[in-house]
Amino acid sequence: MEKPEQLGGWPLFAMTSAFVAGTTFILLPAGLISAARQYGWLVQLWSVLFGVVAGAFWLYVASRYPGMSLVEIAQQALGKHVGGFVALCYILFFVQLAAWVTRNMSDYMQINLMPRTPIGVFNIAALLVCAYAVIKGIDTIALVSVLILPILTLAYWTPFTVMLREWDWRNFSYPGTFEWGPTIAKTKYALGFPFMETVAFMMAFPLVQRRRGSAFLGGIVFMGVQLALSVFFTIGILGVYRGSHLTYPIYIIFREMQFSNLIEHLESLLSVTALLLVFVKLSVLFFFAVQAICQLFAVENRAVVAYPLVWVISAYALFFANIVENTEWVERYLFYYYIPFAFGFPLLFLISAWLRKNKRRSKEAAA
Amino acid sequence: MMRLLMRMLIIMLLFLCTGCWDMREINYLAIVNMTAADIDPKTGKFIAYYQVINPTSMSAKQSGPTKASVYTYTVTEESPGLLTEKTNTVMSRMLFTPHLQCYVFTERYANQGLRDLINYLEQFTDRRTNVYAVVTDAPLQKVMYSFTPLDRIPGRNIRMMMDWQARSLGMSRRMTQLKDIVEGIPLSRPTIVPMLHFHGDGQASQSDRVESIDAIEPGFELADGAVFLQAKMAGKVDRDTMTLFFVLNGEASKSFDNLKVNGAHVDVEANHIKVKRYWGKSRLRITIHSNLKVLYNGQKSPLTARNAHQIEMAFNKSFQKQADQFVQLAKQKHWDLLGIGDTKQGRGRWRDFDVTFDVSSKATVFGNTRTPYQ
Amino acid sequence: MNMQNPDFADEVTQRLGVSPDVVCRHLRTREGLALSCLYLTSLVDQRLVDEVVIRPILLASQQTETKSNEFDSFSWLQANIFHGQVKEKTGVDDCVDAVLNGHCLIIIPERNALAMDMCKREQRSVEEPSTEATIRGPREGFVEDLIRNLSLIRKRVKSNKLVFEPMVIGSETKTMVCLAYMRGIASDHLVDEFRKRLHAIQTDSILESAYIEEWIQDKTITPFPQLLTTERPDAIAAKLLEGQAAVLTDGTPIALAGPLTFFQLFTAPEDYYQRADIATLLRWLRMAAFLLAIFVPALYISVISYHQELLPTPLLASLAAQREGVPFPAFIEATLMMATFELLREAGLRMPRIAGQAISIVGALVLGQAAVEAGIVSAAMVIVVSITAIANFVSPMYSFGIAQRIVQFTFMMLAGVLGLFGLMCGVFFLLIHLASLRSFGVRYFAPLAPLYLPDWKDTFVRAPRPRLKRRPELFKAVKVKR
Repeated sequence: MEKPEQLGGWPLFAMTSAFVAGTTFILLPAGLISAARQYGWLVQLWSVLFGVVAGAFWLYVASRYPGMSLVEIAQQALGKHVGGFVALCYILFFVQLAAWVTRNMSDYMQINLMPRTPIGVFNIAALLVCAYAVIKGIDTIALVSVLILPILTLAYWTPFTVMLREWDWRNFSYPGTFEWGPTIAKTKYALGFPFMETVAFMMAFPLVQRRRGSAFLGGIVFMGVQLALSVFFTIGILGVYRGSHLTYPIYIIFREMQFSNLIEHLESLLSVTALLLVFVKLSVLFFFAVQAICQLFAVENRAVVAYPLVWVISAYALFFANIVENTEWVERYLFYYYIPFAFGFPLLFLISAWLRKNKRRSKEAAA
Repeated sequence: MMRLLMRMLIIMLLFLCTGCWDMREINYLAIVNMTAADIDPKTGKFIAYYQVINPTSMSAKQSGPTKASVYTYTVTEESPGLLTEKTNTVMSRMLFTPHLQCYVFTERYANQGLRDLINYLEQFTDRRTNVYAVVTDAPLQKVMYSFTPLDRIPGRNIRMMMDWQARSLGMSRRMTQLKDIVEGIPLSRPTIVPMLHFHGDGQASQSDRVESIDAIEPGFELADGAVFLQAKMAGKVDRDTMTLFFVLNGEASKSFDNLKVNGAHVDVEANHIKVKRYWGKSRLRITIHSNLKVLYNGQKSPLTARNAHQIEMAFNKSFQKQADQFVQLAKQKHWDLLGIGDTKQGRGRWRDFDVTFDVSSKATVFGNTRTPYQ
Repeated sequence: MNMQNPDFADEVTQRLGVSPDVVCRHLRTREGLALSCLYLTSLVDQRLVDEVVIRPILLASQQTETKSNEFDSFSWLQANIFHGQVKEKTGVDDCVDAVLNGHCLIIIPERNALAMDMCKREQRSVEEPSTEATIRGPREGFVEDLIRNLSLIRKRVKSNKLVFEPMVIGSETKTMVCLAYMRGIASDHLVDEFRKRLHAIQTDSILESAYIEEWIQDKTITPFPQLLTTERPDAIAAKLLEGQAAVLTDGTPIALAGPLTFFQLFTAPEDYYQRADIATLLRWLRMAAFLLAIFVPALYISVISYHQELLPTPLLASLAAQREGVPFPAFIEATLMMATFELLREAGLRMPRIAGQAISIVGALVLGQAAVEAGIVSAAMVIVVSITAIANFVSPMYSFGIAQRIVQFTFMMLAGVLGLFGLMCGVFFLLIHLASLRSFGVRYFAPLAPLYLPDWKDTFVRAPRPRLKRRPELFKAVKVKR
């Protein structure tokens, strides 16, 4: 395998955007609208802010360990054994995330497009394609995300624009009062999903030399704001009432869009095209998992890790029996589950870096 | 190692070859064009009518039975969820509903409420709710067992009729889709759905129907409206009220009126109608401005600026009167037809509002005759 | 080295094998000096040999009157032979090579041999390239002779920067190959890479430039071409001026140029001879044709068998009616038709022109009317196949057309198994594959990903000449300004 090239700022930006969009745009609006009603988009904006702060924190941690990926940082900061264990935790975390993404994607496909096809088939097909991407390396994935981001942004916003004629401002005066506290407590998973997942990019930071911070945070803001906007549009077009009752409100917007009397049903085309974003997110997570394994166990050939991992992930993706269990788990535990990975371990790394610096300084002073 | 991987890959690809789970050949589909729902008053069972397109009647190269454009299948079940499965007993092809054009409900079914059906339809994405919906006061057999002239597929016929009406009212959106009823469930403003009447004694169930020159009888008429509150039919309104409902809620921008000016008939079309609402405490002033197009002028005198002004005044007065009657009707029937209860100002107390109208108009188009022939 | 004349000549003759075209003429001057003239009649221009070598020797031998001990045969010959390049050869191997290259060898006893290039340049004349016809632009195409091809390029680029680096590749064929580039324009890195890869070729034979292409391209397992192949000297000249390098091979009219990027596959040399706006539109047309070729059959299959809701109702009903009697699923139907078409194309390719007509008639009947009327395929399928076939031929590069076909069949299969989802998996796979390809270190998807915005004006559009003042940044040309 050739070593991955250095990544530019623009590919990192596109990759981060695609990662944030990933499965979020098909899953999030329903939950947000039912919890926060017409203020769902505000919640999403607040999550973006949170995402930016968290992103800045990770960038800071990474800057303490120049040129090192997450696994290397863990081993450097906490020693070979404890660090190795933490790295292993992260690997499991990435595998788990990849499995969830896969599952969300295949659920979406099965419910909306191909009800009779078994979920495992979607999983394996998608993972095989992504495994190929993983073997080709992160630079290739980044280039592809550069390529598809503008096209998909366009494809995604076209239905919204066409559906504007169904816009109804009455949807924003849905009865009920809004309180920040309980709402945020109820929607805290929106902070975790997708923003706390971007911690995975600490694997990619050493590959980016120029404009790392602005590209990463820019990607988060760019896609986060778009997500907030799409929640806003969903409320305006579908209404709080309908939006909160549906599992995939965005799909319904795709479905009810009619360009003219001739082209009435573009939903399958649009939603399948949007799958490309999911594929990018999946490939990125998959790559990070494989890369972390390769770094931790000093494996040279990514293919040896990637293909067996296809089976692990696709099996893990079948962990939840149905989408209801999945959603309930996400709403209850996701945020807490993410905290050690997003903040706990990085904080440990940071403290270790400070201690080391002090030690060095005192050593220098002694000398 | 690589060879092992390659072998695994090939096995995985072979696994895909067992695929085609969702394959459904296009010529094994029963393309449903119009669906009707009714309830059996005796048994309380759910009756569904599926009108299926006969593809061979549509193609240029005709083979097989070509004259009948559609066939209607009827299925009875306890609850809607089992209907699709039950169609196997009467249909030789797979029920395919994404191309539905229109839902038809009987009055008795609509009176009972559509909520069950809506929940059933919204649950899976191969059923759709962004489809036109009408309520019929005729027996369902008549409606569903009739061929239509000109547009030979009845569902398409009704749909085009509704599109055409919506366009002539200057509506920016579809007239009424089933999802409007869904979205209306939490609202205080009712949803109005057009009503389908049937002319004639017997149904036109033979395809010879389309060979007859009489296009009206037996046949459909789309007029009047059914008022839905919380997905339940609450009553009927006439065609003019329905138009006014769309206009006053800002959804339509055209209306038609027959005026009396100087003792003669003048027909006008009001277009570019702009409706604005001004809120006071327990007061709502609605201003309406429109441009008038004179469609017919029965006056024997030449057109002057003064005469034009008279026409405008007559229209203002007539419209104001209709609007006041509209508000009266709303109060009397307990329907929040203006949607006051859905706003911040009027939530929960729409009846307390005193609604006044301020109508202004400008006659802009008179056509080609300045002075009528004496 | 001491060479006994007859023995040495015999040795060379032996090495050449006793073939009928080996000629060894022994001449004797008045001084008693025995010269041998050795050549292959199959390669050498007989008249030239008579005129330039034999005649002067014979004439001179009658006139000169010098003492034999002072006689220096070498300088004597140098003075008396009317030929521009007289090279001295020593050693049997050298001599054999020279004879095989079409040289006439004069073997001087006790000295060395002299070799003169007398190769007869029997060749077809320069004609219009048959695979790359053009409406406006030069009508000259490369021929099989390397020197002639070099002259065709030199005629266009009269610059001292133009460099042809000769090298001989192939242990048996000893094919002359020229690496061409513009010194001071092409980047050293690129030229070094080309040189390195050409030198690394270890083979017995080079019969066509495709042999070289397979050796020097970055990746072998891919349907996509990574080197430009062309018959047109003007195209090669243009590529050289952009800072690319080219490889010319003796014995074939097809030259290679690189690096090649994906979007260059949509540009034709003719783009630069037409108005900029027309050229731009034509490029878009070619890109659209590419998309049509790879997507239309797959989309048709997935819509017909999986996602019928995508069709408007009247079209759906009419398609359903057309397929009413068709026994096959759409995927089988499409594969059948596409395979038939491929058969016809392959048959038509090498048919004598007269028989070709028969093929096209049969093809039109089988593919079209008869199949539909027999109810084996639907009429819509015939339209789909024709659109695909036509779109396939739009590509300016033939090898790219073949790549398209491979992609198209793969997509058809994926669509047949998993509908649009399968197709989308294929699209992602293709994107990843293309993005991971490189041609001589240049990313295949440049200038789109990675982004080189200035290059867009000669990629997605063709800006007018005065605006194309800079060479493409892709190839990292040394001198960027034109």
